[in-house]
Amino acid sequence: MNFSGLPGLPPLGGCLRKSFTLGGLALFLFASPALPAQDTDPAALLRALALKANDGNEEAAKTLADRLLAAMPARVDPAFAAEVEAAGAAEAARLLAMIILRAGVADFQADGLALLDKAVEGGSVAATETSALVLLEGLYGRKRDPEKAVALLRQARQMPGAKEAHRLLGDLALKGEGMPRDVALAIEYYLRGAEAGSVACRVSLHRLYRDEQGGAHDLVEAERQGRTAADAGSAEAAYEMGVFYERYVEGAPNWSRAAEWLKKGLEGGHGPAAVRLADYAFEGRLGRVDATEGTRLLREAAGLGDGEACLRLAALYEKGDLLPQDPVASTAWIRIAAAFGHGPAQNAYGLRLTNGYGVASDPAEAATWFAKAAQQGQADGQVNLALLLENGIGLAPNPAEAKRLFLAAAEAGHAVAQERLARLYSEGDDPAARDALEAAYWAARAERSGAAGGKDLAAKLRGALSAAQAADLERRLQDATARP
Amino acid sequence: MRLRLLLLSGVAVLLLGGLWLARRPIVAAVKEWRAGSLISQAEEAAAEKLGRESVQLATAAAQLDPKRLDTLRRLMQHGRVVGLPELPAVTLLVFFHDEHTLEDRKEILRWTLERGDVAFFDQLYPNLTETELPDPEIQFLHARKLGLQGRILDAVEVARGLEENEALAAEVSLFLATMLSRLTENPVARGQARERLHALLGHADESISLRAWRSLALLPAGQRDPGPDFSPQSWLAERPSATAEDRVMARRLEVDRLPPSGRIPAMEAAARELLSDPGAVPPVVRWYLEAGAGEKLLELPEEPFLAEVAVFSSRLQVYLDLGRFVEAEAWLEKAPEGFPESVAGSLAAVFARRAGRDSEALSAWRRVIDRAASLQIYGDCLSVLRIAEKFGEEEAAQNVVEAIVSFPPNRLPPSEMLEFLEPRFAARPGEWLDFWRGIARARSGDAFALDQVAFLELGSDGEIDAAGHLERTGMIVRRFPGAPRFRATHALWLMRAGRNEEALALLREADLNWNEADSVARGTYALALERAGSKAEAAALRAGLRWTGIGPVRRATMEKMLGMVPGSTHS
Repeated sequence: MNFSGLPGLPPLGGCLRKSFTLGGLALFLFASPALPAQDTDPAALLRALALKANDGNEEAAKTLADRLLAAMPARVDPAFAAEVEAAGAAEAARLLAMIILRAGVADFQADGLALLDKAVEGGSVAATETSALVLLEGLYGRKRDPEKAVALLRQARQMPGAKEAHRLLGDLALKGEGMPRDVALAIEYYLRGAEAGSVACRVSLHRLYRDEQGGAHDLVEAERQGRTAADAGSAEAAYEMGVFYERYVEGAPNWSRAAEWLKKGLEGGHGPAAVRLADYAFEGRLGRVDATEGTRLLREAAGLGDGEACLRLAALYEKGDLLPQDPVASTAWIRIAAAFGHGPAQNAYGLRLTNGYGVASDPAEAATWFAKAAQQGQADGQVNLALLLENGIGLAPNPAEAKRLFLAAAEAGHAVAQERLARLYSEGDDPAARDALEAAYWAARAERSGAAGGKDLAAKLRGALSAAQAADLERRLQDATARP
Repeated sequence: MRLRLLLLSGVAVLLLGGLWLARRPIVAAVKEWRAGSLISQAEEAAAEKLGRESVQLATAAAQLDPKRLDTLRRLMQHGRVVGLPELPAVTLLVFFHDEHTLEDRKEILRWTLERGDVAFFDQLYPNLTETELPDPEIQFLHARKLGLQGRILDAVEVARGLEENEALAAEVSLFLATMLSRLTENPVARGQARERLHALLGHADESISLRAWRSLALLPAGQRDPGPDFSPQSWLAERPSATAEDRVMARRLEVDRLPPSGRIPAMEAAARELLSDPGAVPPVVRWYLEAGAGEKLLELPEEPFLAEVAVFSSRLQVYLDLGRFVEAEAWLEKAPEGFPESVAGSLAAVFARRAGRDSEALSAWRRVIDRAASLQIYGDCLSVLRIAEKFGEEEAAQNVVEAIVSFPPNRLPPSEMLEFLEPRFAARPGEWLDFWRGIARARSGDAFALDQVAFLELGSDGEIDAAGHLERTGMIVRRFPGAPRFRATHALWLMRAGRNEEALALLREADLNWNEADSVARGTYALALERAGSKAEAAALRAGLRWTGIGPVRRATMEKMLGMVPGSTHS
């Protein structure tokens, strides 16, 4: 699951977001020498936070704070000290929960979740929104539960100060996740979010209004919402306005007007705006082809943390027409994109490590990158990791986990995984795990997905079924077709 | 003989002892039987249209405290027909009866909604059990309640979850259509409303299809027509319970299919035919006004507009809106019986003023105000006030207000209807408070008035019964748990008593959408959050305070408590 503009959890507060970019175990960073020492004493601050979160129970607070301090080194951001000072009991529980959960220490996960629940019970809006996200993403050992997440978000949106709830509900209504798909409801959530000051909701409205298919097509309103969001300083909105003038108005693309908006997006630090401007330069949209400018813009986007730009640079070094052909540089850019959390790049870097192209071969390291891609739901990453596990390359063989990964990728429509599953069910090493119907089902799915050997395999396996099994197969295939 | 006497006395003693021991069940059974009998008599009296007797009999039955569920049910049903004063209490007894059924509860909740009593619904709903709550019909009633409260999005959320229930599908779809049609800034919602209504026109149940037909009026004119294949006349012909209003709607659809230039003449032709049916006059008037052809209405024959006060007034209204005062004055002379004297008198003053006859206008105003004030008829005063305000007669308006606030409370309407007078007391908050104190003194059960006094006294510097307010506002919240206004006032008194945590908990435990509550409620929430140490959340709330619809005295009181400069926030 990935929600637009919100990869993972929302920020704790400005300073904490900074703090946690710099390492799993550090609690707080950026101690300010300007502040008195007692204000920035991490132990005292953590105890104060734990005391508030535990409703003044000194013993419980001390125990929790001591356990945390023993496990994690800590320094304090003075802004965070002010945030702790201003926090009530519920907010303190949320802050502490987020510190614990973001630190990623398994021993403390249960404490973190308990504190988060407590903050929700205490009426913290931010905690309610975060708790919903945890359920949406299935984080920290909590089972994924979109329906429950929707119920929490609906609770949050009624509370004063809710920021993300409307947008998340709108996104879920558009996807039909946790509730029936309903564009009208999505628009209504976004409208109310926009009314409450959410710029992200305005951007979502802009996209919906400009879309010709969704039933809300209204270019005047799209422009109004996009402009309002961009005027509020949203770089993403400026980027979307660029797309708007490029694709949706005036009959033909207005490249110069689009470029003006994209430049505003870039000034706001929005990487995709730079990538799009780079495309304009490579394609000569603004008068002449300018590969140097295009490359410069890609580098600028990469500097802004844009994984796509990194991959584009890698492709330029790979191809060798605009930049010198250089497999090492190409792989290095893929590595950077992967580090930025770009799923396809993580898989691509895993492949380079597997093949030793532009980097020393390291199947074990490759497996870790495939695993990261797989965690993001990248079917290619799931299949590649499954292949390593199946063959014991770079890590210990684990056929059961390999099969689970093939299944996940196959369900997502990956042809190779479907064919591989068909073979595992028809001719796998473990005779007890063979299943003619499952084999025929996955072979038929592989055939539909266009797998190279899918057609013959499907015909062969279908021929081996009884009449009842064949009927069952047809029913399952129809169900699979009906699913979105 | 002696032995026989002894035996007889023994039997008598045993009999009396038995009777003594069984006296309570016997008395209860007798009372139950008597109550049942009184209810039967009350029902018979009602059938013979002896309303007063029927109420008296039902009241007597209620005073016998019947316990059996079937007796209480009968009393409740009859109480609804005749307007029994004990009806809320009897309804509660049925709702909370040990032997109550889910059907009883659904029926009661449905009834509260039918009479628009959202507060009673809010009192009952939280008492449903965990097995009763998920019942689709109960959830649908909840959705309807949310709709009545204007919480459209909440209502849609709940109703969308019920669409798969086959038994409710049509009702839910109709409800959703009406809710979605009210989301006026949401084009997709309006589109969905249209699609739902058009689909329901073909429903086999005539009552559903006709309700869908009537709901088409909720859509913008251009979206009502299901399409050229749909024949409104034949569709209506198949529905015997269609009314004159339905027939006007059918003609409107047909006329709207014509090119714009032909619509007004077609409307006029249709109107001349339709006006022969008295029930069609009001919808025809609406049609003209919505088509922007109010002036054309005056070209229609006068006769149908003289039949009754409402349609007579609609024509008068058009004259006034167009500023055709001379014709209005002439039309007023033809007023049918029952046309309010207060309106006629006020308009006479207006006409005199417009004609430059100032002294006549003055005396006309004085006459009409004196009459309404001396008769202490609130409705007349209100009519005079509305007309004075509409035509900019400020002095007359102020005089009427002074007359209204001098009425004894039993001559005034429900308290909720009096708050609109507040702007006239912006500079006289003390007098405004005194006015409400008078009402609260005279109406000890009037939650709105008690709440108003409790709130206004928060901003007053005089002697205050803090303990009394705390107790009274707490009781009001228990009676009306779903009203943010009452909850806010009680929370403010809790905070004044230093019970900040309780205040915050009180606000949080409400099933309310705080983002849609008024700024007094939101401001109270901000205060409670601040006192509980949640300053960041409080700041977000303070930033969103808007005072639209809140009177100046109330606003100033709240701003004072929030430590704001009066008038510093948005209105």
